[in-house]
Amino acid sequence: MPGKHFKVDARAMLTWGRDSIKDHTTAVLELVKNSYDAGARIVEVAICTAPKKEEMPYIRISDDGVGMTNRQLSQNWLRIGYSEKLKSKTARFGRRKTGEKGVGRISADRLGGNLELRTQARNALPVGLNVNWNKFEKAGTDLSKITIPIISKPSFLIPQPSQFDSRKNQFLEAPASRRNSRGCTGTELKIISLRHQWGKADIEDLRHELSILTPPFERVLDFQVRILNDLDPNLNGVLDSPFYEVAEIEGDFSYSGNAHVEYSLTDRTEKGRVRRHDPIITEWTSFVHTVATTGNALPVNSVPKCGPLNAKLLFYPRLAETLRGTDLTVTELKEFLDTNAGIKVYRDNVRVMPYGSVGRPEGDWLGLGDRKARNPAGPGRVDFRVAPNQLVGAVFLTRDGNPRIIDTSGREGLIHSDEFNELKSFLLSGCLPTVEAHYHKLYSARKKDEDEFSPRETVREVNESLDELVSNLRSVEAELPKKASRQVERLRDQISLSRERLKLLQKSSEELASQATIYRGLATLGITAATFGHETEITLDSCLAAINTAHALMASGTDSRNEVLEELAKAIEYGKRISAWGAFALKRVRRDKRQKRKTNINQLISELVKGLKPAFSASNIKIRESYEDVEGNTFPMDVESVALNLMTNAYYFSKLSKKERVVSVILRNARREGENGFELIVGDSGPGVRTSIRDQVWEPLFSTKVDIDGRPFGTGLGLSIVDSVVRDLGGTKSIDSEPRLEGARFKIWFRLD
Amino acid sequence: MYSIAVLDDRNEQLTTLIRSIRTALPEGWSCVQCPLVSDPSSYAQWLMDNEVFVLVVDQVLNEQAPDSAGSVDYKGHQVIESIRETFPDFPVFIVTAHPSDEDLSDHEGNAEDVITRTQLTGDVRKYVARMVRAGQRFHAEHERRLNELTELATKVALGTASQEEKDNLKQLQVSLGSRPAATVNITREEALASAEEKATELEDLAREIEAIVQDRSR
Repeated sequence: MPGKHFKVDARAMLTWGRDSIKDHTTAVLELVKNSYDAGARIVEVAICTAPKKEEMPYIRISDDGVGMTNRQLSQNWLRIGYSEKLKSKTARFGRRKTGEKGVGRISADRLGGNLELRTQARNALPVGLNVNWNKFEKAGTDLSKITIPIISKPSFLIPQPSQFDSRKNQFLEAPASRRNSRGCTGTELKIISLRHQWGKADIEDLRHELSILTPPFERVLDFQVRILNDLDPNLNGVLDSPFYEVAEIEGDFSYSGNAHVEYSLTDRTEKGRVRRHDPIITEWTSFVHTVATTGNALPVNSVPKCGPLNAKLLFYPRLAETLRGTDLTVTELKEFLDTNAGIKVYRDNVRVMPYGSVGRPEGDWLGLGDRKARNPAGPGRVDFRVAPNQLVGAVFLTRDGNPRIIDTSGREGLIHSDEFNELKSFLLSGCLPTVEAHYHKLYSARKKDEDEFSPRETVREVNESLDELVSNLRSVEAELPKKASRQVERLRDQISLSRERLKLLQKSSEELASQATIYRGLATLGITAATFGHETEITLDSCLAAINTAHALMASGTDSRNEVLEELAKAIEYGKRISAWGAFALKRVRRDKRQKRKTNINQLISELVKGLKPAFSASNIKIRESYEDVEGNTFPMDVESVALNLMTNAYYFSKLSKKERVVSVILRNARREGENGFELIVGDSGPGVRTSIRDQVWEPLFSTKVDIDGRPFGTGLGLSIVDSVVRDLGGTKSIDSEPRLEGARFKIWFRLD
Repeated sequence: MYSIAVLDDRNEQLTTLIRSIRTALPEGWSCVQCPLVSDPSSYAQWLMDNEVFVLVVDQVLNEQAPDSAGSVDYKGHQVIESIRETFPDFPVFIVTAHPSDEDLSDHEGNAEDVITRTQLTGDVRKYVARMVRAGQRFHAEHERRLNELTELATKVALGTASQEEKDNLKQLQVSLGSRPAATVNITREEALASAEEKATELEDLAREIEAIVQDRSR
C-alpha cells in the first residue's frame, strides 16, 4: 500500500538515554536492573578510574544472565522500544521482569561515549557490538543509517556468585570468573569515554543504592551485586548488611487483597534471643484504623482495591541495648540507620525510587518525621511513635498483583491514586501502630521489672537466705570432721558480719523509704488540697458572706433578729468546716505516722473518711462504709496516702455521673498466697475506667480528668503514688467495675506483719 | 416594682445573698430568688415575666447531685450566654468563690462584674447601687424600645410606615426578644379585608350552630 513512514532522527537516542536518566548512579541502576531481568545471579560492577597504561577509565557491568544470540541482539537489543519483558513477564528464578519501556539499555549513553557490548547465550556463538553514542549527536541523521560495528569473536569474563558463610555471617571471597562459552552465559557492558569523573563519594553512593536495589530482608542470594573499584578497596565486595538481623522488632505484614491481614512480630529478649510471636489474622477494617490524610477518604467497610501487599518493618531504638549479643557498635548502627532508614517500595523485588531514600524530602513519603514531631511521646507512653531514623522497612508490590498502583512516566514514583493511598493506610495506620504498640508493651514490661525491685523486699529475702544458711550449717556441723571446725567458725563470723552490714543497709533503706513515705504523703496532701481546695474556698467565702450579712442586717435597724441569728449560725458552721479541714491536713503528716508501727487500720481509714465527709456531702456524694477489724504492723502514712488518693479520685469521678453519687469504702482482712494482709476497696458511681487504659492509669502524669469545657486538668500523680506505695510495701493492685455502683472499683491489698 | 434576682443552687448561700442585698435596696426595688431550671434558654422569659432587671448568678451551679432537686449541668457564664441571645445588654453579675477560674476568665467580659460573696456582702451598698443603676439603665432602654415598637407598629397598622420604619420595627422586635411580625409588610386595606373575611366566617359558623341547636330542640 502506498504511504509514508516515520523516520527517527538519531538525536532521539539522546532523549531516551542521556537526557532522561537523572544521574550516573541511576544509569548504572538501570543497567543492573537489565541484568536482573536477564536472570543474573551475580552482577559485577567494576569502576576503574586509573587503568593500566594506554587504557582509559571505564565502567564494566558484567553478569551471568542468559545473554543474547546474534538474532536477539539484532531483533531485540537493537530495536529501540522493544522490550523482551512484554513477551515474557518472567525470567529465571521466577523473577518478574522489571521495566517494559524498552529503553533501559540506552542508559549506557549517560555513563560514557562508547559502549562495548559482549554477550553469550547458551549453545550459541558469542556476539558483540561497539556503540559510539556520540555518532547520534549529529542532527539530521537517520537513526537507521548509523552503522554499529560488530566485535568479532568477543571473549569476556563472566563473574560467579560468592558463597555466604552463615557461621561467619559474611560472604566468602569471590570465586574466579569464568570465560564465556556455550555453557557459560552472560553479558558484559564496558563503557569508556566516561562522561563523569568518578570519586570515592560516587562509589559510596552507588554502593548504597545498589545495596538496597533488591530486598535486603530476604538475603536475596539469587541476586548479588558485587562492586569493584580502584579508589577504595574497602568499598569492594558483595553488598550486604548485618544489621538486618539485629532489629529490636521485626514485623511481617501481609494483606491478602481480600479484606484479610495477617501479621507476625519477632522481637529480641534482653539477652539477645529471638522470640517469635504467633501470627495474627484480622480484617482490614480492624487493622487499618484511619485512612491516609492525602487523597480520597476510604469508606470504613469497603475492601481496598490496591491488591495484595507485603510489608516488612524493622525497628531499631538506636540504643546500645539493641546490639546486645552482637559485636556491632552503636556508631555502626547509627551509620547504618542514617543511610538505610525509611520505608522503601519494591515492585517485583526491584526498588521503586524515591520512596524511602534518605536525604531526599520525597523519601519520607509517609511523613514519619512530621508525625513524630507532632507527638514526640517516648516508648513509655501508649501513644509512642517511631522516629523516621529508627525504622528500616519495605513494602513489596508486584506488577500482576497490584496493577492499579501505577508507575509515573518519569522513571520515579507512583501515581497518587486511591490505591496508592490504601497502600499508605496499610503502612501508616496498620503496620506502624502495630509495631509501636508492641514496642511500648515490651518497654513497659521491662520497666516494670526494673521498678518492681523493692529494697525492703530484697533485705527481707536476704535475711531469710542467711537464716536458712545458718540452719543448714547447724545441721551439717555435727557430721563435719574436727579439723573443719575453724572453717565453720569463720563461716559463722562471715554470716554475722553480713547480717550487720545488712542491718546497716536495712536502716539506710528504711530511712530512704521513710523519706519516700513522707514525700508521698505530702504529695497526696497537695493533690487533695487541689481537689478539695475549691470547696474550702467556697466555705470560707460563704462564712465571711454570712458574717457580713448578719452585720448588715443589724446595722439596718429593722427587726431582723431571727435572720441575724440564722446567718451567724451559718457562719459558725462554715467556720467549723474550715477548721476541720485544717486539722485534717495536719493529721496526715504527723510524725508518728511516718514509721512502721502497729496500727488499727479500720480506725485509720474511718477517721480519714470522716474528715472527708463534709466535702463529699457538700457535693451530695454519699459514702457507704464497711470495715472489718484489721490490725497489724504497717506504715500508717502510706496506707492513708493510698486511701486518700483513691477517695480523691472517687470524689471527682462520682460527680461526673448522671446517677446518684455514691462512693463505697470497704476494708477487710484478706490472705494472699499464704500471707496475712488486708484489702482496701474503693468504688464509685462514676463512668468507670476503660479496660484499654487500666494499665496506663498507674503511670505518672497520665490523667483522664477534664473540666466542663473538656479541658484536661489534674496532676496525673495520685494513682502513681498508690502504685509506688503498693510496690514498696509488697502489695497488689487491680481495677475493675463496681458491680452495684457501676463505676470504677480499685482494690489494693497489703501484706501485714 | 423592679427586682434583682439571685440564682444559686445552694439554698444557704442563696438566702444569705438575698438578705444581704435587701439591706441595701432603694424604694421600688426588691430581691427575689430565680428558680433553677434545666433549660437555660427559659431564663430570659422568666426575667421579663417577673420584671427582673438585674440578675446575680453563682458561677458554679452544677454542684448538686443529678437526682436532687435543683440539679443542672451548666455554669453561670452559660446562663449569661443564653440570656444574651434574647437581651444582649441585660445586666448580670457573677458571684464566685474563685474569680481566677480559667473557664470564668474566658467569659468575664460578658458580665457586668465578677465578685466573691465576701466582696458583695462586705460592701453591699456599693454593689447594690451599681446593680440598681445598671437595672435602671436597662429598664429605661427597654422601655424606650417598647415605646418605639408601639409607635412603629401603629404606623404599620395605619399603613403610614416607610420601608425604613418597617425595617426598624423588625430589628426592634428581634432585640426585644420577639419574632418579627409577618404583618409588618401587609397594607391597611389587606388587613381590613382579612378581618372582614374572618368576620364573615364567624357569622356563617354562628348560623350553623343555631341550626343545629334548633334541630336538637325539636
